[in-house]
Amino acid sequence: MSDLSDEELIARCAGGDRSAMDVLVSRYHGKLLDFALRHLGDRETSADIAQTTLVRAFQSAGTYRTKATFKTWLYTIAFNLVREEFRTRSRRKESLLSVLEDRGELAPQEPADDRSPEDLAIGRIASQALWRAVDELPEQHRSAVILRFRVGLNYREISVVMGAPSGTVKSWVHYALKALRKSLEPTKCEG
Amino acid sequence: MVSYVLGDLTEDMARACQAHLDRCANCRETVASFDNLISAIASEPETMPSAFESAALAAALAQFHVHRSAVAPALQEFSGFVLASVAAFAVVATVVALQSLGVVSVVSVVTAVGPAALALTVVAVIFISSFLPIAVTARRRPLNGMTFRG
Repeated sequence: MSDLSDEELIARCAGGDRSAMDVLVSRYHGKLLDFALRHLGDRETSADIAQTTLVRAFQSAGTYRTKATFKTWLYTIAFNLVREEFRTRSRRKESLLSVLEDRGELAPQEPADDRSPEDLAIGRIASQALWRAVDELPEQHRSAVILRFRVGLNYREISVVMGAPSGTVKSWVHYALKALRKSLEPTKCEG
Repeated sequence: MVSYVLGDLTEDMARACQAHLDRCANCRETVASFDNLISAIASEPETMPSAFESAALAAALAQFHVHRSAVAPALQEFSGFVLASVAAFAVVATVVALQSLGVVSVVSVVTAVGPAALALTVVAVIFISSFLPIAVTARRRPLNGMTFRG
């Protein structure tokens, strides 16, 4: 079962195959939670969105058509929920970094490696700086970057998810990368 | 340089860019910083669902599963047949009741309307068996007891 493609699995889900659902859940629950959390910085809402995305996908399994990949279709559902959440709260200006720091939600996700505590601390600071910079990007640029580099979609797939032309998506990604590099440039010591 | 890093250049342009990079340390540094940035975004450890979040999802999907695959198909398979049988029984019971009251005799009813009644009964059974499952499916709520965001 686990060697089947997403598209084959969702077809089985349409027939009520429970084990096919389980495989898709194991593949996407964490990724959807991560996707929502990188946008919203709010664990409870993000978990809610991840769950709703999967439930809606299974509910609509019978209507899935292979014009888009399952992954694109799934992230379209998730992206719309995230966008709706932004509208609902009118982007409560709560920075992603402050949420992560306050709740320590990403802290337990440290990889189990043999780095020293100092290296781990430096890595954590670098990570916080990175996501602070991502959080400061315009909303569409941030989504394009997350979909491109964390989710791994190509421009055409992102254009389907975000409902924007591919060329526009490409320019968002370019702009965002330049902005991120600029804001993460090390400050020169003048002492 | 961003286009080069993202692989958005044509083959000719990429080759020209590579030739420039071979002799320009500043641009090599720029490309390296974009590569590092992309790598940092992509390699950040994925957020894992907690046990509670996984259990909540499993509970929601369990409801969904039972509703779709156990109850509804059973209803769809047998409901038409059951309803048609009840209708046929009602017709027979009515005729028997009328006979017992002395209003009509079974023999005269069968003789008079037998062929037509038989044809009508067959059509009714086919019709009910075909369309009732669709009606049951249409009435079925998508996710019993679940609430959706947004």
